[in-house]
Amino acid sequence: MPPRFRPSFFTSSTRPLLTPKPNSTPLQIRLTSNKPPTPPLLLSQRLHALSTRLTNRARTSASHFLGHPLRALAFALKFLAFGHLLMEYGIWPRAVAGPSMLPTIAVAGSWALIDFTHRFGRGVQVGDLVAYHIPINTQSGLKRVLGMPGDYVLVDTPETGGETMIQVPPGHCWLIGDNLDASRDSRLFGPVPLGLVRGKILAIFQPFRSFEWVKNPMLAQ
Amino acid sequence: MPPPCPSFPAKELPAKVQIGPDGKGRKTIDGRPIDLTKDCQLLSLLQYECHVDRPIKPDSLTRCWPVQRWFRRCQDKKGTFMVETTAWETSYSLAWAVDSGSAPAPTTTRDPLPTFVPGIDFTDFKDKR
Amino acid sequence: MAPWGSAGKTTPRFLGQFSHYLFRYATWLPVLIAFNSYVAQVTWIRGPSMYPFLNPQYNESLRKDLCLVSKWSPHRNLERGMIVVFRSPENPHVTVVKRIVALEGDVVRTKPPYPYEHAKVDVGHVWVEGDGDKTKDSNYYGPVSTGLITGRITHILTPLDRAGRVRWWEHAEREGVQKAQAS
Repeated sequence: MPPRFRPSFFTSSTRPLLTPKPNSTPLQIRLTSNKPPTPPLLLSQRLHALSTRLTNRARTSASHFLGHPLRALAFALKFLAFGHLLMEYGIWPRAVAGPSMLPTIAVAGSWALIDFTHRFGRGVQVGDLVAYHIPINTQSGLKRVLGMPGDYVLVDTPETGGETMIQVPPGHCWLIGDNLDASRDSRLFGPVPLGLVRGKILAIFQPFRSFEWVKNPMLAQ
Repeated sequence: MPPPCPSFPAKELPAKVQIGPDGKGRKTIDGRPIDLTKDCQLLSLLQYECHVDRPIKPDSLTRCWPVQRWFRRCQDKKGTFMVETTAWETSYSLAWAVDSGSAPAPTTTRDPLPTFVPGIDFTDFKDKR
Repeated sequence: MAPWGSAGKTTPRFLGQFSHYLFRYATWLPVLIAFNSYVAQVTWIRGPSMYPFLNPQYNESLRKDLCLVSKWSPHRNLERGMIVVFRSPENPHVTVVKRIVALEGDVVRTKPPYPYEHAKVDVGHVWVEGDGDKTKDSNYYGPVSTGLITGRITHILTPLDRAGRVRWWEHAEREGVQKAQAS
């Protein structure tokens, strides 16, 4: 059978162009593979290969975390610490209760969305609601800011007719509850150090019932 | 009572406002002493005196009487500061404004303050639950 | 046995490894922060307020003491004589080191800048003072809320000749403190 004419660049599969003659020394570097080309995989075969590869990887990564007790411990530690960081500096809801902030916050069942990036009174203005550590015990409270450092505030309750005033000392704020009758606040324990302020209240909500953004009444005017 | 800070009666407010927290004098941007009625914006804040009729019941009727607090937001060279004028506004501001000559006629210096008489003008509402 | 053809891949591989290790070390950063805020921290002492107990050579050299601060439950079991670390009531971004002089309920005979001669320490507060003369303490800003306390100094680490545990209970009590009955 006479050879059919072919252009040279099609011939590599049958007779590679660079294959040396049988009796000459073999070349050190081979540019083309001698292996026969693998036939293309069927889709089902590919999927099977992919799934085995993934299960293998999952198995090894599971053993990576669980195989060594120290590694599992380190992972748990990192996870907890990261969660702590988020809880400490993020925005989180907290349940609030008590009659001191009536009628802004109901006696029970309300939640406050607290922005903890406002800790230590960063960016807090007069009229905002803040969460703070109560200076005379170990609990936390929620009150309205009526004075920041250098402001002038009334020490007495307005309705009593008292006229004693002070200037809020540096690094402190003046916190008063909205329900003057039932609030234990700066009238009792004096100016609160800003170091005890934990965050600013963004919203008050009752799950599945109501949601209300807290507006600063002083900024609207 | 931390920290020790001197208190003063509301009558002395216009004088006290002239001194900042660092002990230095306060001046407006054009160099005058602070005038509470002219240089400062009047702001109001409502607080309340609430009475929960039956505190044990969760849906007890809660009645709140508003308590008006007044503030002045003043601007000086270093920034703004707030002055609570709740006591001063009702008793002294008109007299002081006339005495210092900053207000020609007492009635036109500012809007008359709304008055709330406890027990008569009250907001009644149910606890949202 | 890297063949020639892969020579161009080293740069991306280096970057990949670098970012991989960077990420692996960065995941330890929250752990470090949590450790520093809840367990212990190593800190330099600045300034003369605790002279001569800490920084005894503050006016002779720039040497500062290195101390170990225990951050574990800092508000509990406070005692007179302990050296505590707390946020300054005047500025929450400044941390200061002072010695507890009186606990809640005690009556303290105050020192000059304080406007009254005697001060009763409120519930939930402590009276703190520096050991030295150059100190801005409770005589200046009044009793400090225990909520501001972040830790207590337990050990001096350097200089080595004074290194060791802080024996706060051996420190002489300050005169003029009338202790409360309960404690």
